[in-house]
Amino acid sequence: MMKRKRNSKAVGSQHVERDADEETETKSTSILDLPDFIFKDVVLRLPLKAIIMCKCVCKPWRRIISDPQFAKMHFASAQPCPLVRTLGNSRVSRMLYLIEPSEINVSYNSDNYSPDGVNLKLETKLKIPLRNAEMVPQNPSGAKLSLCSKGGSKKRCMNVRTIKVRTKEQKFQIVNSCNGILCLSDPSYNNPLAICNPVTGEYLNLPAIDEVDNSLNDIVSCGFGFSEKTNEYKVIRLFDQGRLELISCPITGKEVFGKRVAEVHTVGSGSWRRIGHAPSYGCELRFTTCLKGSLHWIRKDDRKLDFIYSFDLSQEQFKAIQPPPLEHRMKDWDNLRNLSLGVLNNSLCLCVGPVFDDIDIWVMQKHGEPKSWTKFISINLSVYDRWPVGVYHPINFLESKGLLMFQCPKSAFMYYEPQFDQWKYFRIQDIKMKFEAVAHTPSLILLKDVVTGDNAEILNVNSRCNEFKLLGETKDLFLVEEIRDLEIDTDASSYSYSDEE
Amino acid sequence: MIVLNSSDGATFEVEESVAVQSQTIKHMIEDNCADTSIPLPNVNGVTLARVLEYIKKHAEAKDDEEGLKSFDAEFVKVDQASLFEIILAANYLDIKGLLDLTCQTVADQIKDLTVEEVRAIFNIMNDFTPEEEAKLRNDHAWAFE
Repeated sequence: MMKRKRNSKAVGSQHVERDADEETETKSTSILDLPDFIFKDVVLRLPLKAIIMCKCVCKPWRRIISDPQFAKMHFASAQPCPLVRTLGNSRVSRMLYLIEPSEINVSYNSDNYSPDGVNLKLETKLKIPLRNAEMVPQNPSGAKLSLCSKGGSKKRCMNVRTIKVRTKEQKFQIVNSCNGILCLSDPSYNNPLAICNPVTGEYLNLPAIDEVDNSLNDIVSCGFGFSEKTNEYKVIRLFDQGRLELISCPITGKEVFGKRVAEVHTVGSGSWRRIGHAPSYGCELRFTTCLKGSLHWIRKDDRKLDFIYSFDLSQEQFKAIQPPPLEHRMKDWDNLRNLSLGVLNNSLCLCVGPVFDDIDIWVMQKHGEPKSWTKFISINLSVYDRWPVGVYHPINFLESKGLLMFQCPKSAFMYYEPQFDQWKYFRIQDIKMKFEAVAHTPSLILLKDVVTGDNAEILNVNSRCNEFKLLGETKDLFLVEEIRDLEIDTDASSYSYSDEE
Repeated sequence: MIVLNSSDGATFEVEESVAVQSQTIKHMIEDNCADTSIPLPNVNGVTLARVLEYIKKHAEAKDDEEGLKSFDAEFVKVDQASLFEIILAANYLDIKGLLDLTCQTVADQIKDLTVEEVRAIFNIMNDFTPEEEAKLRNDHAWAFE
């Protein structure tokens, strides 16, 4: 029975049951007497884990934290964080390690060379579902009964059954992240299959895709995004179909040869809609980025970078965005491979390099206006020993004003302070594995507020295969600072982007 | 000088220049409601005294960042009930800095606690059924591992 507290002056106080005995004493002011908006103020200051913990304390707190308005408030002040995941074709991993900016404590010793002892344990471990989880047998033969001991104390050993699953069937690939929600695809063809918010643990499957369309060698390009104009979340997939023929290019209107088509799914609508022809026949689109109601991509292996592809989610139209005016020295034959597209300071960001000794980070200050491309940061590395070659992904500026970037083949983070022209290099302490990092702004958004209509079945990542641990899932990861000289990898394989392992 | 009356009849004198850190008091003065004294029926004497201590210090030592920092740190070392009284008063009196400080203090207290610890320390009853609670924890398993 809910009782309103006597003498409650605060409007909208959280209501809670009290024993009859307590009513007779003068009650001292408790946290429950705070009006909702003040309670929200307190909760918004907490790290994610603590916010989820509060959700489980009592019903009034759960109600406040689950409210879509609260999720909006939280998201408005949330920052892009690196979401780290193991790569590797032979490994299936559900674990995503989120590195919240407050955890990264970067400081310099006065001589700038002595180690700061940065040794950060990646604590926030989120999970995505297993693909085709229902296919994983409940009592698999050959399941290894494995003892997983915590802290070496025999008393706290847990019997954890570890099983091996198959990448071809059980692994998800991450396409992109939008509003705290990840789009997941199959690693073979990159067909978008599900969306998932790892913080709330919710996911839903996208409508089935007609596999007949996919010929064996064709990789699908896709993306997931939100249009504020129409308040809808949509997924798009571009794939080849039928025969090569003359079509009207959806961007230029000119007649070109093509057979690429585009289908869009409005999340919750139950089906895919054919919207017409798609550009980019013959190449794969990468670095899916959702920003301000449009999806953006650059072509894989685009030596010339003619333009950046964009798809307006409300108008459902393709556009070409002029790239920044790269200097001639950045355009030498092999060097345009070190490109990445992303978001920095809420603007479209293109990171070029390293090309010989320079990394240029361009930002489109005004969305949709290529004239506003500005070379935001230019890092000249010739004064330092050597930097690893490969693709750099700017993630975000930390409070300490430095830029955090992820470097692909080395699975390492670079922290660069433009003010002092200084940098630090952190590596994930697990030399055997490679990792990817996705820029992810965590949110509390519930999927029921994402779908249009009531049809979608919302599942939880822990509803299946939860009692099993996959190989390596129970491992702790650490971020350690690397002080030694960094070698240039002259091995050609390290030039290419991640998953060709 | 401005005279403030707490809910339990205590009277406090404070300089107008200091008192206007409270937007509520500031507006009352501007609207000429402050002839003889300002009644504050939502704040008791003990709490009002503490709040005045805060705004006095912040008026005096305005530019002493270090000094204010250590004052603030000591200021919030009060029992739980008093802390919430101060929050409610800071809200009613509309003193942004004080509200900010006290909310951050509560957040810092909560941040590393478990669900059981929060319930115990803040005296909150668990109104979930065992099934509801188990489902909540399972759905968000990552936060409890």
